[in-house]
Amino acid sequence: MLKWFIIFLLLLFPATSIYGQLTGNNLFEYQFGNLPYTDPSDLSSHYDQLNLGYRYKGLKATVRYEHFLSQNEGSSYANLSQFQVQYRKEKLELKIGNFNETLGNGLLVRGYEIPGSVFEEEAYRSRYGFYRDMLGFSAKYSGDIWYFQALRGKSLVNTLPPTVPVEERRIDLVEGMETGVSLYYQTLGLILMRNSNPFEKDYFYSLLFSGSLPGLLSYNFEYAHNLAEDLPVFAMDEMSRFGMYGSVSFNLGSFGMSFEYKNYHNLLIGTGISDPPTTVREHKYKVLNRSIHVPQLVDESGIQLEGYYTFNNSEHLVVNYTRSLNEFFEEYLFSEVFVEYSFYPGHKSNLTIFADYASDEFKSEDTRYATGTVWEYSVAGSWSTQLHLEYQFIEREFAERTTMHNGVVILGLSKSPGLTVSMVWELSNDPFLTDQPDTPDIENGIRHWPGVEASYRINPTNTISLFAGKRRGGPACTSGICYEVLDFEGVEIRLKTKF
Amino acid sequence: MHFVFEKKNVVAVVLLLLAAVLHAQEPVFRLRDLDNQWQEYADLKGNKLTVVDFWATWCQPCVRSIPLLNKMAAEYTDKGVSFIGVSIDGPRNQSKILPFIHSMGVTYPVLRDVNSELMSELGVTAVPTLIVFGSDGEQLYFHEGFRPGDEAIIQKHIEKFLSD
Repeated sequence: MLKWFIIFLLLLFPATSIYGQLTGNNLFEYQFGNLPYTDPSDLSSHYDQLNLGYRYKGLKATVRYEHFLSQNEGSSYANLSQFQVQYRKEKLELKIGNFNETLGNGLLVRGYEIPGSVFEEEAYRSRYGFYRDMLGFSAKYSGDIWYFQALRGKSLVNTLPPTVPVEERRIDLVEGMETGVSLYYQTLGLILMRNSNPFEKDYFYSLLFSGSLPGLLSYNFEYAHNLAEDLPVFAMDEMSRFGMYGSVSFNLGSFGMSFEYKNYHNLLIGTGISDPPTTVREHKYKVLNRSIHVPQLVDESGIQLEGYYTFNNSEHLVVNYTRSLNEFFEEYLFSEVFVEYSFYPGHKSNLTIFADYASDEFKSEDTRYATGTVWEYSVAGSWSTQLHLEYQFIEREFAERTTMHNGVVILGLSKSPGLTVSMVWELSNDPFLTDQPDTPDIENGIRHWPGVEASYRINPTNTISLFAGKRRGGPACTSGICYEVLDFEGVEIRLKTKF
Repeated sequence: MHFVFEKKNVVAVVLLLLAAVLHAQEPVFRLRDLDNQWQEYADLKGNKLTVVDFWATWCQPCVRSIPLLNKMAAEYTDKGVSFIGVSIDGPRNQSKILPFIHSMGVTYPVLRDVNSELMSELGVTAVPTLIVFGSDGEQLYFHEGFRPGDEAIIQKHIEKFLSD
């Protein structure tokens, strides 16, 4: 397919080069250091991602080039990792090449990218852009009453780096279509999808029902089920594969609320091409973000309730309640209550405080408390300071009952619009983290992660960032996607360029 | 070292680089709003300037910037400046956008970039990011992040572009 893309470019550019627009961005990241307890500690590596786009009216061609160079054997690569030709005219959109598309609410298939994020797996030690795209084609017509989308593509297994042959990274062939009609703000839709790989071939359908009372209320419901000869299409027994998601959101003046329901059973499709709504709050605080409950698509049901209230002076209150139940061989309950309040003590200060209580039986963490604050103070002119404090207490029943504490302290100084310098200090006495794998003993005590972060915007299109010290890894969730971040000790420099 | 660097790949990159930038192109996008209706940039853009703000419900600096942008929108709408909010929340947080944005009293249109496609297309890699477009679609200003004092800088740029 790449050959045809090149031919297309050859034909396109001479005709349009004086009228079109070239845009692009580049991310360069250099690291000197390594994972803790790993030799050599002075490992040097760099990653670069260049994205170029050329657009002439509704026609656009894009390419992505990535490379990674490291002393680690077998982890380096240089690769033209994405290309796309896209044509948009009014309600029609056609794409050939790499694309991110979602059918419905993502119960069956979701492509995504977390722009600017770089992913690394401990087993491969190769760094690469974090996205799960499809390679193929997509066609979309989005009319005011009727919409239609068809796609066919090979989905990327993004836990495998570009050093792995593409045949192993793209084993799921996804073919699907979604169509629906909208009348008076109410939409009724249908999805049909087939996923095939060397091990299985699955057929699914999904019914969609969504709508709104403009400015007051909106709702969204999806029921997905596999199509198999020996199973009724609405069966919800142990052998069935289905997913049900529903949400209702409403607002009244400064008060807003959303309610969500989920019920997923045997919904792990292929290598994991689906990404249904988690109905779990995505926290931005470090201690809570690491503890976010990740849905188990083998079996999970639950609810989430979130309310907002904004006071006249822009003070903002968030209250969240989440409950999820997994039934494997026994039941595992996860529940969480979260409250956050942002307010302005004095005209120069902004203060946010939060409190959280959770119980996560799947992780054997019966009790989890967390609290913290973010305080921002305008010192003078465009200078400001930030103080960020977080504390978490966990009681874990794993072989024996242990209690542990996690803490985060961040002290920052900023000059608007482009300079920020922060001292970051994290600490924990979690035995999973304090034990040093390179010694036969089991170490206790407190482990520290001190570091310095700095970011300077040279101009609106160039930003340089620096990190030096120890960075704590672990589970992380960004833009609704959860993944594992590795620890790091050393120096990291990032340069983001846009043109 | 494993290199997948073929001649044809180099040709593609070189060709793109050779295609010189001579004309700004107006953004072309069509996204659903909070009432699930399709909205196009061409219908939402301002006569003089268009301010596009990328944000997410889980982003703390966004929560601080949105009330200030809302004030700016009220001040500049009559001066030919349109404000558009673009939520990059994925399917996970879709149901939260409407109550969140209404509780904040946001008056400008908010669109949903569920797959972060517009975000990638415009080279946005973090939220909040604010982009100011001219009437011809040229990108005049790009502002990433939000710190105290940023609102004054954004306002200064809008004033400058309006007076140019």
